[in-house]
Amino acid sequence: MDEVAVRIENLSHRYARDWVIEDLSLDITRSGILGLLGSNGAGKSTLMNIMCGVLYQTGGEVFINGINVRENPLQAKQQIGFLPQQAPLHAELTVDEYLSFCAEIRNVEPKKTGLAVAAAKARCGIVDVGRRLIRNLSGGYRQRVGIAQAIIHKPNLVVLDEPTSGLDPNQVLAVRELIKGIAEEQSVILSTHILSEVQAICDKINMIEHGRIVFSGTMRQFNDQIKPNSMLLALANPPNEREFCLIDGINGAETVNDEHVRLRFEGGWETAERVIEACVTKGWKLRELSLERSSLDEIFARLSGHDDKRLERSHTS
Amino acid sequence: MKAISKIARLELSVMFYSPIAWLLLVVFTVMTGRIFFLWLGTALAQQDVGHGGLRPLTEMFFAGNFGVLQNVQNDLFLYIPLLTMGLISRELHSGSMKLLMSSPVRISEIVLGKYLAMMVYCLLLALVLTAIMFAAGLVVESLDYPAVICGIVGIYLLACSYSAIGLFLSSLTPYQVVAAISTFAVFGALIFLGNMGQSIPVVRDLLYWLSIHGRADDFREGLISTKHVFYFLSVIVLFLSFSVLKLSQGRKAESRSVKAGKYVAVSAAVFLFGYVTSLPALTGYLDTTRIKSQTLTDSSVAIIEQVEGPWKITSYVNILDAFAAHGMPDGWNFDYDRYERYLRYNPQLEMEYVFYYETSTNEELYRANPGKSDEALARQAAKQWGLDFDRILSPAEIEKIIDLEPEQYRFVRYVEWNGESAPIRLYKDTFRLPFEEHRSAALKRLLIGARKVAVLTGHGERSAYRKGSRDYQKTLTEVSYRGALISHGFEFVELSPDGAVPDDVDILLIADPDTAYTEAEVQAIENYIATGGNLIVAGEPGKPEILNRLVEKLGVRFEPGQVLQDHEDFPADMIHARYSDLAAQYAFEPARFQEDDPVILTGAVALTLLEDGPFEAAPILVADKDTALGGAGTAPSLDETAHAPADNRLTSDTLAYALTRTLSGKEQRIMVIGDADFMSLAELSRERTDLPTNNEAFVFDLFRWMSDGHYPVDTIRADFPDKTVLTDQTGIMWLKVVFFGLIPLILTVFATTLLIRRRRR
Repeated sequence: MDEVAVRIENLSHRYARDWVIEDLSLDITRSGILGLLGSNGAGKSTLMNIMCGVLYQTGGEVFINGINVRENPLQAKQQIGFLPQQAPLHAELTVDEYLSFCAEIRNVEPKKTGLAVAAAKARCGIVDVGRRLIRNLSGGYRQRVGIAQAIIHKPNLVVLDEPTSGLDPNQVLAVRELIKGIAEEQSVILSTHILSEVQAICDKINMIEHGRIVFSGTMRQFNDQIKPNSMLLALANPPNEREFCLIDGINGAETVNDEHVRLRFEGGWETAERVIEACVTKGWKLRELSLERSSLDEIFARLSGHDDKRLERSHTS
Repeated sequence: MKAISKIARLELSVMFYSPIAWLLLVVFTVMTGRIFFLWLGTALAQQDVGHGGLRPLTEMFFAGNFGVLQNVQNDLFLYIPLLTMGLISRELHSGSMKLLMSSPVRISEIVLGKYLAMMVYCLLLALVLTAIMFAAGLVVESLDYPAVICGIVGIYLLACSYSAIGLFLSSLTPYQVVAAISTFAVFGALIFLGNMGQSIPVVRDLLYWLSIHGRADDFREGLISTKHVFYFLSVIVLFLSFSVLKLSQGRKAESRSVKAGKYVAVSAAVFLFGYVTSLPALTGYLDTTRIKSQTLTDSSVAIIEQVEGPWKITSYVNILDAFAAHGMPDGWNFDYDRYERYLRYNPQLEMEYVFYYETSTNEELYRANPGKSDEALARQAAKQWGLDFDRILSPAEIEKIIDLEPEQYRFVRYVEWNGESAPIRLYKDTFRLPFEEHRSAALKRLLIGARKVAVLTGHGERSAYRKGSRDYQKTLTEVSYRGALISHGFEFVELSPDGAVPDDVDILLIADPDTAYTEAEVQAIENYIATGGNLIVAGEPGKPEILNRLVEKLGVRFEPGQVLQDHEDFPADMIHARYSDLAAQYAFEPARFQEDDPVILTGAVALTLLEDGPFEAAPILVADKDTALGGAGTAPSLDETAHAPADNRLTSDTLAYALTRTLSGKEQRIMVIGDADFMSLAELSRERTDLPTNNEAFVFDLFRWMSDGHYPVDTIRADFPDKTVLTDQTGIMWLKVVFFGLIPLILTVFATTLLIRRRRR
């Protein structure tokens, strides 16, 4: 059983009138990368801000390594590295100056500040830009600097709020690699609204919607939830929709246009194989077949429709 | 603590990695330097053309109303918001606040760290002022360093207070411009607050305390008072607490009333602290000036120290009077503060205001409102002043309380203590307000009473009440004239000496009778003299026998004829009397800076001393032997150009004798003067080109001697040594090179290099 890094008990928060987080309880174990997935406005950032002591919750408690964030904020914060959605940079400083400051306020011993800065830079791949002004750096580098500040004091827990948003595809890949590297030494919690990101790097996943956890489990458990349930066929000679329903496992078909048909199916690859077979044998002239994974919205809709409490219980134990 | 210094260091680097901090430093140096050199140039110019040495240079350059410190005080509010606007709003805007929020530091450490950075920056501004102080020390003889340092401390505290306010406003918004503008607005409010809501006592006192206006004035003038120090501390604590509250509440969901409640609680605590520390009884003072210019003179201290227990000042405000504005509620707190120097010795002062109306000396009011009754005018005035007419006493009602007719129904205050009271007046001149000498004289009257002067009448003498040009009304009894002795501890009665001189008369004044006194009158006067009464006898040419009948028994005689003086520019009967060598022993001295100026006696008689007189006699005023001549029994031509005959030597050059003897343990003092015009309206209001006179000083010395040193209260301060500029135009030029050239250049070059090199990275 993995050690619990973050325990959230009955957490609630509201900014004005509406609850952004409502009675949320969650244990986060210390291992690998945990993805906090949710659509925009789901409460991911609020949850992270509360975890890191940037926000005070309206109700409930958060424990970081057993330390209550509300009661002992200084000790709790010492255990955390946080990269908010907008990297908290001082544009007029150089990377070195900035990171030194970050090390200092995170109580890195003065003698070891230089080492800590060097180590963080090395891990984040920003050794070359140490003497450059943050203002003059590209978005990708800035994000790396943001990550570097979060790990500079070697916290047990690194919390990254949408670390890849606003980056170009190459930068996204680089930052993901970086996060994977960090996860080798520290537990990482990252939030995102991009499903592929979670799939790319996360070991565990929590889905949050309307301030509640709607799913919590391993990537495998999650993938079961979101395995493909429709496929898009491009056929040169499409038959009547009803013909498809005769295939075992297909429980619905709709014509998209003259060439394209969408089939809803159950089961796994074997259903797809049967469809291909049928296409060949019946001369429908299959040109293309693609499996369609559920869109995030669909998953959210589906998961939200489930009994949340039961899901939580079954996956957080 | 460590976190505070780290945050402060970061904040300072951010400040100095942007051009604003540098730019402001350069502008500040040049702007303050400009004022300094303005005054340095003026002082040198005055010295070079012979008008120097009249004002202490420390005051002129730094403490004065237009000096360096006042200018900084006025302009400081322009600098601070530009520095504070970014402190927090910049971080709120860029999101970097979350770096601090998620780090193991307290919100209070964040606020204090940022504030510490501002304190350091303000210290740089203070350093610029210190540099100017040392520059002044180089070019001014005996600069009063402690006083200037005190002023700089005041500026520093003001800057720190402004910074705390700016910091708070910066925490309210992520937009720096909004922070800056709202900071300006709050400064404006704090400056003008003192004049708002004056009709409600609690609000008035609270706002008056809150007002930052003039808070640095005492420091500037060299006085540290704990109440101002605590005021600045209160403002700083208040706004830093607000900032902490704001930032903490920014991360908390609390109901509005809880949030507001916290602000109210903090404010209440700070106000209470401010209230307690501003109580006069709990206020401590340190006068840093070399000549203790911010403290009462020793003679005043001696007076107020004897006024023990509660004392009260009641102001009687005739709302039809031209000075009525001085009694309106918006000035009450300022009124109180004007007695601060006295409160340091006896804080138990109560102020009361009584409003009434009565026909006044305010001619303009009647000219502007012809035909209106006093009551109609009073209603009109009450409306203008925002007063409730029903609470303004009618002429009949005020009369029952106090007779203000002798005060001409002008604005007057009565200071009251121990059943005694004495008036403190406003005067018809540019200052209007009484000086220390007037206030102390009134207070002294509470202790020892006024000195009563009986002015003899009935034989054409000079009058204490008639307003003729020969008469003494202005000098003695004019309530609107600052120099009148009635405002300096004396009371005057006219006396026709047919009966005995009353016992309570301290000084008898006999000035230039035209006709001889009767036997009975002479007897009455002689009885007065025999009992040891003090006496002034002033004679004029042409009738020596009238007064000789009195003064020969004292051992002095008025000579026949008159003294003339050979002038190039003035008539021969205008005598430039000088102080004798013995005068100083009798405390007769010319005014400061007027050591060479004469006492002018117009139409004077020489006095001779008779042998074996009963008094010890000392000449006080003498004629200049080289130029003065005796008139041979006849008055000279009064033709302005007439010159005296050349062969007529003086029999005596003495024009005023002080006579003393000791009677039953008390020294009797008599002054015989060979002229009666020396304190006439004509003499004291006369302007002569290039002829300043010592007449006023002589009158004051005369009455001070007559009242055994009690009145007028001597509030002359020690001379100041910092009156000489030790450099010349070249020296000033070099200093200018340093302040306008070198320092700004070094700062600019350094800053530009730094910023450009960084920008390239």
